Amino acid sequence: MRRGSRSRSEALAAFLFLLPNTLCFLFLGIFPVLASFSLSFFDWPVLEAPQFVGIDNYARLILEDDIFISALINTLYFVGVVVPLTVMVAMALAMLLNLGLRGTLLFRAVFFFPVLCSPVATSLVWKWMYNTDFGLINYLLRSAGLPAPDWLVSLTWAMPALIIMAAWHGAGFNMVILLAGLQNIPRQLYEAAEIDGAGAWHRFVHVTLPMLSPTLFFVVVIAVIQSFQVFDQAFVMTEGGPGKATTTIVYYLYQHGFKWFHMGYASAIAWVLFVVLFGLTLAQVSLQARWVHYE
Amino acid sequence: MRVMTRAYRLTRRNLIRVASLAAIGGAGSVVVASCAAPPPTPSPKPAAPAEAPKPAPTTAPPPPTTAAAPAPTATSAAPAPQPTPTAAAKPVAAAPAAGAAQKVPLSVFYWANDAGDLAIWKEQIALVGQRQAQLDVKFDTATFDNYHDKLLTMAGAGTLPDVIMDNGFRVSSLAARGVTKSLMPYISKESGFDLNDFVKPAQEMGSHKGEIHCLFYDFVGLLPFYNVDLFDAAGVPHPDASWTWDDFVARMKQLTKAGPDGRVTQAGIVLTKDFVWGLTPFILQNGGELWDKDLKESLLGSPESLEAITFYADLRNKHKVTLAEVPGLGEYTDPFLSKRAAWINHVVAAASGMGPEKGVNWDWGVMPRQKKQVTWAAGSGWAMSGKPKEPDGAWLFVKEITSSPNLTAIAKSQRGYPARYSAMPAYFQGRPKHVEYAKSVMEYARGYPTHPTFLEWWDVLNRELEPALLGSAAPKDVVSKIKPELDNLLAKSRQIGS
Repeated sequence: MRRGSRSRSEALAAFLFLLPNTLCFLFLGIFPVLASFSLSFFDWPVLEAPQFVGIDNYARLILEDDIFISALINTLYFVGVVVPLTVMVAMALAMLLNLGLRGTLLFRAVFFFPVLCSPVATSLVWKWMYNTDFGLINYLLRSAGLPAPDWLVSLTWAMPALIIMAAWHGAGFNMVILLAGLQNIPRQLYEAAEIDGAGAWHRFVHVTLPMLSPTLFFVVVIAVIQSFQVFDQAFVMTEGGPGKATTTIVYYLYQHGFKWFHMGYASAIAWVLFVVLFGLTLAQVSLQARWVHYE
Repeated sequence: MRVMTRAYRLTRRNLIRVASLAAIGGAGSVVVASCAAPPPTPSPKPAAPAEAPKPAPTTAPPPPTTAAAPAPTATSAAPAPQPTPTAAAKPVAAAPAAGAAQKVPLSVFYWANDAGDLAIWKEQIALVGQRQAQLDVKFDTATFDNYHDKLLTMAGAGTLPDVIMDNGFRVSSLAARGVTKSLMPYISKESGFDLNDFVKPAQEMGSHKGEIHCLFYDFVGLLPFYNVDLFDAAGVPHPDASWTWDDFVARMKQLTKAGPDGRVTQAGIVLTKDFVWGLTPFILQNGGELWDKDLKESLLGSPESLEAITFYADLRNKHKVTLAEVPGLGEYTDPFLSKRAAWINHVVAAASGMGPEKGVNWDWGVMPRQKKQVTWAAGSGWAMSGKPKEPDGAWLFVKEITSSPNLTAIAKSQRGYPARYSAMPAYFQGRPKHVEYAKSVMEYARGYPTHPTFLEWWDVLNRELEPALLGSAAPKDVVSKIKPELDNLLAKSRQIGS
């Protein structure tokens, strides 16, 4: 009896401790999410009363809005290249650092440094480097006798320019995670493989990759989610241009929500993005059984 | 081992109880506070702010209606209001000191980008206070980039201050949605208020459906800045009013230098992808219009407008008299200030960012003309919010802060080119030799026409015309393709606030 009372009292205490955070989570997290879902069925230009429009926002978005379709394609293009590129670069860097060569600590810090920099600040720097006429990148290309693209003012090259910059910015974070994963692979597995006559490539394919697959899975899921939310680079470097070449879903959402104050429509865009991301993540989770190996 | 008595024991449980009570109390206070009525006015902050650069015009005496004002289109560009013109351009009447004992609380919201801005606006408000001691002004500020987000949030929450700063390109948008209030009833009642001391295009741009909603403190026209040294080095005569588009292209070619690979290293002109700064002047010069007077149809597909768009794109793609990079407004002046371009079209007030410390020997020029000598002008000013708590106090403040003495102080500080003729002379002291060009801009400028969905309209054009500017699409195709979208925005503009 006394014990039951004590456990109730402790449970109450626990709930009370959780209360502040729960309230914040509900008011600042769940409530806005639900509100945005509700708003997506309204036309709300902020300064006028919201008008219920049913699923019009969604119908317009998916059936009529060419810009949204372009933004979706651009985002898929971005994600489709950035995720493998970032993961491969991160993997290569992590494996180099895992060799235990001299200067490892320094290089680890150097490769991680872009992650610490503000995306807006780095975007501004890259914007200058990409300048067609006087940018550092074109200067180097011309010095090497190579053709110098128009980068941010080219319909063809603007998106690759953002992708290169995003890969540079994001590789360091993934590298640290993958390095931690690599360092957790037991040495005896490599030794056993070596004794069995496995070369470097076979050790990588049959030991490193399988043992690293849970980490890789995590990195890929996070990279996909982050890449879908690409905004800073498009906002700072290209303003979604030239034309619509770098208009991404989140940039388009920003334009509707915070430039033109179409809050209902912007909410609908956000929910479509959520559905796409949720679907992709579910697919990744359900497919992981085929390639992720847990010890 | 219970050593302490019950009264003084600090056990984990007691600690939890105390913390829980505190948490509940705190949460309760937050809930109660958030349910309470919103605070009446924005928080007071010292110092006065100021806004982004805006150009300016003439020293000239008040030749009020000289403006060539080609029929401005659409809502905001409605015929300039006809208030009560009055006698000479006297500074607004001095304080009605009588009722000074009764303080009138007034909330004011404006933008200020840096300490310099803040100091200028602080001085401006102090000047108002000297004449109208009964006004008890509480003000709040934001940077220009954040200002409109905050303003619309206030409007949405019903907590607008009494007086707000207003930007010319947004006058229609805010007026049509009830964020600002017509000033006409107040202007009509003022016997000593000389509306004609405000430049005519400023009256047009500050109006919505023929009613003035905003009195501008600065108002500037777009005109060329040219690098005198680059012109002289290339042996090109300095621009004057006789230049046509053909002369312009020929001289830009003379000013352009290319490297061995054909890449432009020194450009004649800086082009921007921004529709307003870049393309609009050429469209207007060629006799084109942006939309019809009834706001029903985009006119960018007219032969005049199309020819102008093609001409503009050709400067880059055919004549190659500009750099390959086509900047937005953020980097627009960089090529000019780094002496890599000899000519840039900008508002008069951009001069404040081109001081001697920049090392560019520049002068003002005259826009080349085609069918018309015309350019646009725009600025910023003060407006009364839609539902001011103190309408009379708000009007008094707006009237005083846009009075001639205040605008003269603005001009002397070089903060902006004053929107009143009587304040203009103070602006040009110590300026480059061709101040007459800057002064005369207002004689052929028109207030940039806008409408309630103008900002979205502007974004659509920036986005869609860029490929044409870069030579990846034909202007005619682009304009035909976007016409329904533009017409749709015009239709929305007609509906808003109707």
